[in-house]
Amino acid sequence: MLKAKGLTKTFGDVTALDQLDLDVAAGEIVCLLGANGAGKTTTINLFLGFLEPSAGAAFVDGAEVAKKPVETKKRLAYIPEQVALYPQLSGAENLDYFLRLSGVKKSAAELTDMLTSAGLPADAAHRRASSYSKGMRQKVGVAIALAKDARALLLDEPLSGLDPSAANDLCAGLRRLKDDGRAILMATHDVFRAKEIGSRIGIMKDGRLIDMLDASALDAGEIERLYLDHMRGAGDGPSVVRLQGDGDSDNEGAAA
Amino acid sequence: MTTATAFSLERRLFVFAAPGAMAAATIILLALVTAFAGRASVDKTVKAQAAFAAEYDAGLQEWRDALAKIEADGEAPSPYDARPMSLQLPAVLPPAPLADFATGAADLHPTTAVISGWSNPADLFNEYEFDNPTPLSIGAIDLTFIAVALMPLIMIAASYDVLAGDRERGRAKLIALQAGHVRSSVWERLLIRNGVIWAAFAITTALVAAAPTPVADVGARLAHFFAWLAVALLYGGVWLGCIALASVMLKKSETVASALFAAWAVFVFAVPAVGGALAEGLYPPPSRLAFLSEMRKGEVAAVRETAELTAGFLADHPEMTVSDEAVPGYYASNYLANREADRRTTPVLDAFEASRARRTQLVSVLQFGSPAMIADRALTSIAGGDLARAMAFQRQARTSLSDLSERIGPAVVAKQRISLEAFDAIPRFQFQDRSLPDILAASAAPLLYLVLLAGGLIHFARKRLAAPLERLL
Amino acid sequence: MISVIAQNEFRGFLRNGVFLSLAAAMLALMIGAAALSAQRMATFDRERAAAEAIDREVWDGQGARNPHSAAHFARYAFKPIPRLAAFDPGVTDYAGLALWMEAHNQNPAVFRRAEDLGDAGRFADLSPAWTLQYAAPLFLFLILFASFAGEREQGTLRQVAASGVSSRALLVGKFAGAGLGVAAIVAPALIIGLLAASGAASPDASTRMIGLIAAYSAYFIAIGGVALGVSALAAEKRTALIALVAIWTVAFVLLPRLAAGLAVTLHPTPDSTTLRNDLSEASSAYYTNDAVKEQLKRDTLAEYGADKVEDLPFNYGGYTLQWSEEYSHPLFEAFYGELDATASRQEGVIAMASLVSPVLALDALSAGLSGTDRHHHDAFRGAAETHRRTIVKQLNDDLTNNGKAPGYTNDETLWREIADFKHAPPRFADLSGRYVLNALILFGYAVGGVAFAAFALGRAQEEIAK
Repeated sequence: MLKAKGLTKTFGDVTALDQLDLDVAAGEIVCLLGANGAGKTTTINLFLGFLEPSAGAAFVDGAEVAKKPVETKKRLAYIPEQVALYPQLSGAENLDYFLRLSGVKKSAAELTDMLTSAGLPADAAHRRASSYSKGMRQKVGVAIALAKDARALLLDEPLSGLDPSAANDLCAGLRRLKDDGRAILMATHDVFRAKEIGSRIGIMKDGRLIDMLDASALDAGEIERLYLDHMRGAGDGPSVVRLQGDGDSDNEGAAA
Repeated sequence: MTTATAFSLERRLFVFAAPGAMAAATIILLALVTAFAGRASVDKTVKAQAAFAAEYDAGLQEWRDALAKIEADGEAPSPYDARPMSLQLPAVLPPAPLADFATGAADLHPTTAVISGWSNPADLFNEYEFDNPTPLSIGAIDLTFIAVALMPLIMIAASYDVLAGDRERGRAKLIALQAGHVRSSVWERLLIRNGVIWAAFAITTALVAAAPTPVADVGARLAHFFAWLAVALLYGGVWLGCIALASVMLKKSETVASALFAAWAVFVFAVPAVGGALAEGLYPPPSRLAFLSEMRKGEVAAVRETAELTAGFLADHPEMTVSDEAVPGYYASNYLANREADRRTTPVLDAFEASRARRTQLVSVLQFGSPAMIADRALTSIAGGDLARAMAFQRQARTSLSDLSERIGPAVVAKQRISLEAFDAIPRFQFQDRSLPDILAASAAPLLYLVLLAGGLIHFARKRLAAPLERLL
Repeated sequence: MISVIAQNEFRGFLRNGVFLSLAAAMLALMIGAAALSAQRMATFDRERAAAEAIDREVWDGQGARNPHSAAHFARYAFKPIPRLAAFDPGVTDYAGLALWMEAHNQNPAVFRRAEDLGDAGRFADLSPAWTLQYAAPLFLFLILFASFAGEREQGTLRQVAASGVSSRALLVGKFAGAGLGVAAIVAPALIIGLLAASGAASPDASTRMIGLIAAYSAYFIAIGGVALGVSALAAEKRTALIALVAIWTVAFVLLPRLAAGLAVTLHPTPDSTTLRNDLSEASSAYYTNDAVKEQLKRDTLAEYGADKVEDLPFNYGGYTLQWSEEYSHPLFEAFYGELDATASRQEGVIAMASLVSPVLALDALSAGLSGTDRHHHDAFRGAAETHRRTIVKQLNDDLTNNGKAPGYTNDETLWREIADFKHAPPRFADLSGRYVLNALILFGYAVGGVAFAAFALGRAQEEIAK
């Protein structure tokens, strides 16, 4: 469903993503683990068509993103670390607007149903989004993704900053989506959550996918050990670079 | 995204929300207060001019009756009756059809004059400088000022974060994913917000224009108004282009706001200030005081040389013979003094005209550096508050004075009266205003430039909006 | 601690491209304005000196004439423009430069420079004072909006607060840093402006200059306080920027014009046609009042025990001319008194508006200190009227005392006795009462600005603590 072939992205002299080959099949969750600046967000942005590949290609359901940007977006849903809503609008109004953007029109009752089935309390659906917690905003994000009936989901650190209960709710939701046959690609720092929901776990470093683990074959401790071994493998620690135009999560902590 | 989708968002964020209501209320309130002040000023002028014209028309009728009686009786009750030097023709610059829309230079220049043999072209306009200089120096507020200076600011405040806000809050990516692009999201939302702002302005000003007015006929007023509004909207289009371009070129909302505000300050204040200073520095107006000195030298010379001047004048008019009537000689000597002052000050007046023409020409070029300057000049001239109209009145009044002087001169110097027939042949002053097409034709090049600028900016902004998302997000 | 904060703030300015480019623009604007003003002043002086010389020459050379005829020809009073007008032209361009001191009539001053310009619109008037009053606050707002809001966004404000710095020290440090940054630009600008206006002839030039420096300092303290306060209250930089730009637009662009417009709408000056008629009535009051004329004749004949005016020991025509002049004096005073009262009422509206628009308070005070406001113009008008009365009386007295014989004329001997108009502008101390309100308002702004900044920072620190 999601496929990268030799996908490369450079910003000036900096190679943010180097020759990525990746397949995410329907009904599968692939988690990308890696330090800041490893290329996780770049990968997601390339699939979303927010960045143009310097070489190689990204495909969604067989369509090349760079060539069919609008068509491929229709098959994708996206949940970022911070689901951004219009604070002056209620959750239902936000959902209505974002669905209309993709040409979907739903009734008020349907909108409320979608939000509640994404885990948002019914009474919150018509409150202004300015009063929402991060978890509630994430649930609206999930509702948007669900309502769009997308074939594949891209998630960029969606669990970051969520309390354990909200994180559990989201993971449960993702599992349901996977079981529904969606392909899910999720960037995360959380080894244990990756193990919990991931079918496979890719480890990225310096813009390269250096390992792909079968989550069911390893326990969380083993995955963490492998991950740390990889990080230490270069001997000089993670490479931290400032990438122009890269996503926020990759920029954080940038120093060199 | 359809316009309906954009509207579904904007009606909650702007149109029926606090920001839009505040923007519209501000515009409506300001426009009404300003229009009221403009209207009060026009009403005052119209009333005073009517009284002025009535007073002098009555005087002229009295004068004519006296002359008719003298012609009928063959003798004058008094040597002072119906003397041509006592003729006083009122000259009035009526408020332009849309005078309440732009003060321009109208609060500084005279709008009435008395055409009489006692005046010379240099002192035809006097005793009109009574206004308190303090408010004059601060400047007037009128609908043109609101259109040129304030509307862009309200536009900027309403739309600077349409894209940058979504980008900063992270919504832009979601929008791009849902819609496939951000093009129409940005463009249509900008159109809706600015459409509301300009609709509030257009409707309010249209009501002001359509309200009963003592000025001109309603048809002319409405025609001028539609031209005025069209230019104002065109100027709004330039700003829409600027805002759209800044929104797509710059990432942070504070950078977008700063850049647009800086552009506003440059266009509205800096270019006109520097342009005016440059025009003044390069082509300074000749000294008014030197003008005065020339006028007085002429008067003194005339008084000293009355005998010679009289002889010279009569040599040019051999048909006239000097009457024996015991009329005060100062009629003739003052007339001649004025002619001499006229002769001496004409070159200075011409120098004023020439220097003004050079400054105007330079400013006409410099205005291409500021859409605000173009709009201000065009709107002011459509409304009739421009310097050119004030100058046209002064020129026409001087021509009328020159005509009267020619007509009465021989009789005055010969200490005679003119005939009733000659009096009736004297044309009454009627200000010849420019037609609306003439005004628009005079501003055609800068207005065309505004059209191209607005089109160009909008085109580039839309082109940039269609660029790959990598450059927009 | 304070000096560390101030130094850090100042270093931030020096490394900020926006600050440096704005500073350069501000300095260029100021130098341009000062150069232009200096050029204007030189032109004013040259033209006035030439006109005064010619006026004397023309007056003396008018030949033998009846003194009353000469009084009609009369002389002109030319307004001396104070050197400080190069700094703040005030109403100079909108008030007449010359006043005709003719018999029978107290004319308004004519030749307003603004009538000869105006091609570029009247949105801006490039002078050092305009630059400081209008452009400098905008400059301050643009460089200070991020002072606290930016630090809050970066998180450094929290760190600074955590390091135990008191809000007072932080505010004073920020103020001092901003003051250094602003002084680096505004002080040279102010000095350039004042230098352009120096070489002062005015006896109290130093008082006026000190007053100007104090007034502008208070103004910038107020502006700085508002900028820092808004920056401290705003959660984000962009909110601070938009709020400050909105304040500038409303208080510095919109309100002054709105106030000026409101002033003349609420208290309209009668139309010039009406005023011209009123003035003409005052001027001919004696001649149009037969009862008064008769009464004067009766009284004069009785006083001198004469039966008819020809028997009087002087020229009765000359006597009545002077009498008619004096009969009109209170009428002129009433006419101009009413105009002045209207003007004062208009300025009262503007003064009220200065409670929400500090630039209006400074504008009035700065023009007053520079000797270029309406009060100084009115002092010129008053001096010219006094001189007119002296001249006309001299000429009428000559006619009265010497003009018994018909066809009487006098010549250059008498004309030379007529003194030139000399006007020393009033000392500021003599007019200072008129500016107390504006000075108090400005002082109030300065205190209020600092208090607002302190309050805002206190609140910001409370929020950080929470």
